[in-house]
Amino acid sequence: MNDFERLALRAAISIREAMLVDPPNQELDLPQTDWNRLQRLLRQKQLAQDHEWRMAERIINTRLIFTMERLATDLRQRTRDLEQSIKSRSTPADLRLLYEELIALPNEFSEVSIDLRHGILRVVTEEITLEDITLGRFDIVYNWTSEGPGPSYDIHALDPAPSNANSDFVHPHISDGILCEGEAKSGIEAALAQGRFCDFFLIVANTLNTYNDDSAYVTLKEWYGTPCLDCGTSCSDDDLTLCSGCEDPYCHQCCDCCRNCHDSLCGSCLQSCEECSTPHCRDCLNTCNECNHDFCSHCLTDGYCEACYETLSETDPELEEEDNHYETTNPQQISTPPTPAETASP
Amino acid sequence: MKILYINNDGGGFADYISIEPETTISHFVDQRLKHGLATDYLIRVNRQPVSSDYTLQEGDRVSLTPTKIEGARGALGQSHGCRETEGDLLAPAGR
Repeated sequence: MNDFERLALRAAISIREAMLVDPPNQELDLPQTDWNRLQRLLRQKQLAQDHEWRMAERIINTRLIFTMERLATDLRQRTRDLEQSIKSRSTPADLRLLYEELIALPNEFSEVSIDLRHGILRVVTEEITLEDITLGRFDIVYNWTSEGPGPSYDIHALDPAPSNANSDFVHPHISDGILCEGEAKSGIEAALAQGRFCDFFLIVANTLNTYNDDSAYVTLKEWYGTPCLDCGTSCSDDDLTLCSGCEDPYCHQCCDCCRNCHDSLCGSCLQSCEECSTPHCRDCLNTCNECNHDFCSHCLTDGYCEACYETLSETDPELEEEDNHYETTNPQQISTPPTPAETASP
Repeated sequence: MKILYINNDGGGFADYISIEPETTISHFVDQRLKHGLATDYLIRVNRQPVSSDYTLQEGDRVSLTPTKIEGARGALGQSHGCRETEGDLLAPAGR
């Protein structure tokens, strides 16, 4: 027996002792919230039927189906949990099995360590790469003395490569060291309850090696940040600007500001003045009464663009007159009459 | 003859089952994985990898562990990783 095998034997004895201790009685609670919701929805459905509110009835039916399915899944899971709990209490793990599980770990993982003092079993995964994104190695730490209500294991990134979008996440399915187990939940519970530690670590490692786009904390598409909708460059939230028009995220390079109100806008929401070509938001442009093209306020005169204004001035003397009147009354263009002092001066 | 069969897919049950003598591991896996591919599983006999023509022996421990297990889908009690679907489902009708 080598050093590791001796340590594994002592750990197996300690684990078996921990497993023999009766877990605190857990109250069996029922999914009351969903049940109450179902009853409320049924009342709503009846009301909708009585008043012949077809659209409301259709929406309520969809909600009923969703809640019923969720309740059914929840009850199935609670049934499995109860069965597992009864089974694990009635069949304490065999010491030989525990020992064999522990000494099999080095065959599956390059790094395995046992901390007898703290009751910790630890393995290190190989480097994990999901969809060409390297997430590095992970440390899976199982604590056989853990008595808390949460999971008895946690996971840490050894070569953390956190998401640029949110640096709290080092893996799409890990938050604060806790794996969102998904399909692995039942397998993990069964393996731990039966003392099959090698299976437990393999299931966790294989879950880490799998990516589920539908329920990731941060999707791999957004791992390097949110892509700018225009150029596609991934940016952190600080480097993104929300367009005031469509409210979609764009990088600073793909946004410009309206020269009048200074709102940030994407290329699609910005419009140029037909005359001077300066970018403006839709609200800050006005339509020429004649040609219906859009112009900034500086390029319109009495609601007409320069070209239309000139054309109309030639054909409409009143407009011409108005123009002359404007010219003569515009304070910027009227030269100040000389003061008596000025005229009197030699 | 009887062997211990551990299926780590789904519920992760472990049970003693009867098989025909002279059954090879590849034949056994094919029988068990009617809708799956053997390449998608980590196959161990007595916690060791074996060749596909290995003939199972009385009392062998066979475990199949999927190499791809999706985190978070259908998880209960771990809602912080799972996106709510009801809102998505009802969005078109409700808004």
